[in-house]
Formats: sequence, structure tokens, C-alpha cells
Amino acid sequence: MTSTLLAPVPTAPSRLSTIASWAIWPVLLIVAVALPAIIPGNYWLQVAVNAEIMIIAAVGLYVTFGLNGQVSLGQAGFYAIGGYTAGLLVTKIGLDYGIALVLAVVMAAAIGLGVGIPALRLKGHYLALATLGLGQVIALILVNWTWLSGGALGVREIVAPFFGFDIVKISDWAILIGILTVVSIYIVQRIRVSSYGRAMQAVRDSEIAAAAMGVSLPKVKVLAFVVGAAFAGLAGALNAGFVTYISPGTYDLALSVSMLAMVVVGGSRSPWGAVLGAVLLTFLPEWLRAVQDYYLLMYGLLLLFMVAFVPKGIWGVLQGVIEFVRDRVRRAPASVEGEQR
Amino acid sequence: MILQSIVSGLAIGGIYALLAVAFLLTYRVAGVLNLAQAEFVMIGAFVASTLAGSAGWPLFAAALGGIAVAALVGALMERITYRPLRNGPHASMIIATVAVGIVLQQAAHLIWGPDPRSLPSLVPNVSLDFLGARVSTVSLFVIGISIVLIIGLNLLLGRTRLGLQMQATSVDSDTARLMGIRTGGIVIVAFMIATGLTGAAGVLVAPLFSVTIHIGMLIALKAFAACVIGGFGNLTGAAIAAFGLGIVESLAGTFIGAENKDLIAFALMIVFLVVRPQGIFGSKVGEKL
Repeated sequence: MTSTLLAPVPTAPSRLSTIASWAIWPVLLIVAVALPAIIPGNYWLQVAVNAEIMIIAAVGLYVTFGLNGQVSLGQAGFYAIGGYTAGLLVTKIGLDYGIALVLAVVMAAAIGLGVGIPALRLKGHYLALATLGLGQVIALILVNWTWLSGGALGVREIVAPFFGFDIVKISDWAILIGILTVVSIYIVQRIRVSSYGRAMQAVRDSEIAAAAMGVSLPKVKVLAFVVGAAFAGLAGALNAGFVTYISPGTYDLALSVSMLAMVVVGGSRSPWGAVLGAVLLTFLPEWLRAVQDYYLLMYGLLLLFMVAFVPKGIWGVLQGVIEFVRDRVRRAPASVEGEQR
Repeated sequence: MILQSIVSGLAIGGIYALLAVAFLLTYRVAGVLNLAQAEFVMIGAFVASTLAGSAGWPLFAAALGGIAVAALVGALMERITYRPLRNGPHASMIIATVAVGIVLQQAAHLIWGPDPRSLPSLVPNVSLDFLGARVSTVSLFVIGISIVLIIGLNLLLGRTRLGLQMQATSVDSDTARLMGIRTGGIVIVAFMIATGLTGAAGVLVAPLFSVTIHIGMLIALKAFAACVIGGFGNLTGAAIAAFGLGIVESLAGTFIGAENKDLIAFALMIVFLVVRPQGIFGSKVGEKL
């Protein structure tokens, strides 16, 4: 448990991996922008954009759950807050979508802060319950407060220019959301290696030890929670703009669970795990269309299997394989030397 | 009018109370927050309705059958969640129970299909005149049975050897094991009692609603809320809070309007988390290291 505290990442990374860790961002950005050219057909592009939106929510939850160990079962609630804030600002006030997007993130973060401060005084499993309740409250409000949310009908025609630019085509959306996705991953990666990120990990591994080292538990936990809420809000607002139509049915417990599943299945120890999980679990239902009736069943079994047998997630397994191969490669010349001696 | 809503509130409160004590039993003895409880309500209701319907069992036997199947699935669940994950992080256990819930719900969907089923009540539905109010026998039956079951559980925990062993396991499972208690077996029994009680709640609630894969969902969430309101340390406290919640909801439904009825439980839960996280009947307890 204390492994992260005592033995962090190898201290002197090779020059190659340093260059790679910087080069990855421009490469990702180019891939994200070029996505409409790479992926043929609007349908698969649409699925890819959905995957990008889920990546944003998942890397946010990675900060809350992966870095800080808090189980949130209410991410769909923040996703809904983002979506409805953007949707209502655009349709009712006629605000620019870009500004609505920013306000949606602020709103989700503010509500995350409001809920997080009291809820995080509680130990881990209480938080799961509190966020579960929060998600439920938000879902019920969306259905019942018709004057605000439009009730079960939802909000339609969420169409507005983005800071003056008209974004209509799917390929335009793919570029915008692609850029925001890469920026989100970058921010989360920076948070991870910042002093706050280290403090979050220390709190996850042992609250008592972290507090004894002078880490302010409430501050760090609330921050991790608010980051998760803000990214979920951003993802929700992007979804609202991309789909142009939102309704309460989207934001149920199943969505919260699937966001958590993305982080768990992909690997909760790295933002890349969350990215992998989000892509995988967005494309999986598409690939499994033939066995649609069994999809959710398989999904539950997969989740159970991953938690029980692959706690590090797919990314963790990949990393293990890479390290194993690297070890073998390094050891091989050494043994040759030994034979010569 | 008031009396009528109090009685129907007590009936649904009894259902919440059964789930709340079941939830706390697994939480106290095994340290597991069972987020798959809704599915055990569903199992109890579906199995009983199938046994009573197509298999033609007498109602009482069908009810017992539903409860037994729920308890058996509970034992199975202990095997695949608690057993492999008990030494892992809390988060894994919580996610595992959510996953079990998904699997059970989807399995039920495949077995029973999307059409709602029905289950008649064990007692005939008669409206009684009680102090000028119309009170249904089904409600009174639900209230009676849930109170009997909860008192029974309390007696089991306080008066029997098995109950004391469960309490010992919940206080300190390592020491309990040193004292010769087979804690592994105790945990299985706790799971079976909890899921059996939840199945019983399913059998009781089925006549009030139609039996679908979503029958337990809202009930279970409200039972969680009742646990928070009553306090996690205290089974009786949570049961009382659950009955209270049922009454408050029912009165609110009658006098304020049905649309915000479902919000009350969660709003109260969040208020309690903020103002009094230990619940009404709880005392402040230091975290175990």
C-alpha cells in the first residue's frame, strides 16, 4: 500500500523517455485534429467523439478515484449539471456556446465544492453513498422541476456559435472536442506530478501518514473531488452541444457506474488507464452489437473479473508486460558478460 | 386522511426498514456496503411470483422459495466479492457489489424478460374501517411482518450463540477468530440472513408494485438513506429512521404533491451527512486504524 509513498517513479528516467513524454502531447494533438480525416464515415466519427467526451469525464474521475481513492457514484450528476447548464444558457438566454461551456464547468465545480466540503468529512464508503444520493437527487430534479429543466422532454436545439465560430459539421466538433480532450489529459497529467497530485496519492495510501506529514486532508480531498466534478461537467456540456439535445434519462446510475468502470477497467493508477478504459467501454457496445442482449451482463462480469483479478487494470497489465520485456532485454546482455567472465 | 397516509407510510417504511437492517448487517459483520441489495429485492419478488404463478406452488411456499433463493444467491455473492477482496481496498469491494448488481439484474432480464410480473399478497386485500380511515389489510400485513422480522433479527443477534458470534466478528474479527469463532462461516451466515431479509422485503413489496427488474432500485436507495439518517452503528435506529422516512414520504405525497416525494429521502440524507453524519441514533466513533 505504501509503495507509492516509499518508492515513487524511478528517479532518473532515460533521455529517450523524457523526450517521449514531451513529444506525446503535440503528437496527440495532431492525431486529435486529424481524426475526422483518419476515421471514415460520420457514424464512427460520432462514436469516436463520444469516446473523447467520455475520456474527459474519465480522466477527471481518475483524479478523484485513481489519485485520491474516493469512490464517486454520482459523476452522472455532474455530467448532467454541465449539460443542463450549457443547454439552458444557450437555449433560454441565447449565450455563446463557448461562454456557456466555461460557465458549465464553473457550475459543476461549484456544486462539487458545495457537496464535497461536507461529504468529505466522512470516510470513504460514506462518500460512495453520499454521491449515490446526489446523483439520484439531480436525476429526480431534472425530471420533476419542469419549469427549469423541461422535465422528461429535456432541452432541445442546443445550437450556438462557439466564441463566434459556427460549429455545425461533425468534423468541426471532432476537432474542437479532440483538442479539449488532449488538453484535459495534459492538465490531469500535470496535476498528477504536481505537489497536489503527490499529496492526493499520499492521502489515498494512508490518510494518517499523510496527515502526519503535514498534508491538509480536507483541502486535498475536496480538491480531488472538485477536479472530478469539473471535468464531468465539461464532458456533459460538450455532450449537450454535440448532440444538441439532452433529456434526464441519460443521467442515471448506470452512467455513473460506467464512468467508474472506465477508470477501473482501464487502470486506476494512470490517466492513460482512464483514457484506455473510456475508449474501450465506448467502442465495446458497438463491437458487441450482435450480442446486444448480453452486453450489460458481459459488462458486469468484466467489471467483477477486473476488480477481483486485475486490480491494476488493462494499463497496469500493459505496463507490467513492458517492464518485463525491458528487464529481459537488459538482463540478456548481462548474462552474456557473465559467461565471458 | 392523515391516518391513512401514516399507515401506508408505515408499510413502505417497513420495507425500507428490512433493507436497512439487512444492509447494516453485512456492513457491520463483513464491512461490505452491499450496493446490489436492490437486485435481491428483485430476486425475491421474481422467484416467488414464478413459483406461485407458473409452477403453481401455494403462496406461502412460493414466498419462502423466493426468500431461500435470495439467501442462496447471497451466499454465492459472499464467495465472489467478500472472499477474494476482503483484504483489498474498500473501493474494489464497493465496485464489485455494483458489478454483482448489474450481473443479477441482467440475468433476471434474460430469464424473465421485460414484461412485468405480479404476485398476489399472502393476505386477501380488504379495506378495514379503522378510526374512520380506510386501511388495507395488505399494508397492515407488511407492517406486521417487517416488525416481526426485525425484532426476530434483534433477538437472534442478542440472545443466541450465533448472534453473539456475529457481534464478536463485527467488533473485531481477528480477535473473534482467536477466540475460536469461525468468522468465515459467520460472514456467510450474515450475508445469507441479510439477502434473505431483502428477498422477504421483495416478496412483501411485490403485491404493491408490479414486478420488474427495477422494482428494488428506489427502495434500496431509500434504505441507504435511512441508514445514514438513523446512523450506521445501530440496527434498531436505522429501522426506526426507515419507518419515519416512510411516514414522512407518505405524508408529503398526500399534502405537498407526489412529484417531489422521492426527493425527500435523498435531501434528508444529504442534510444529515452535513449536519449530523453519525445519524440520529449514532454516537461519534473514531475510525478504526
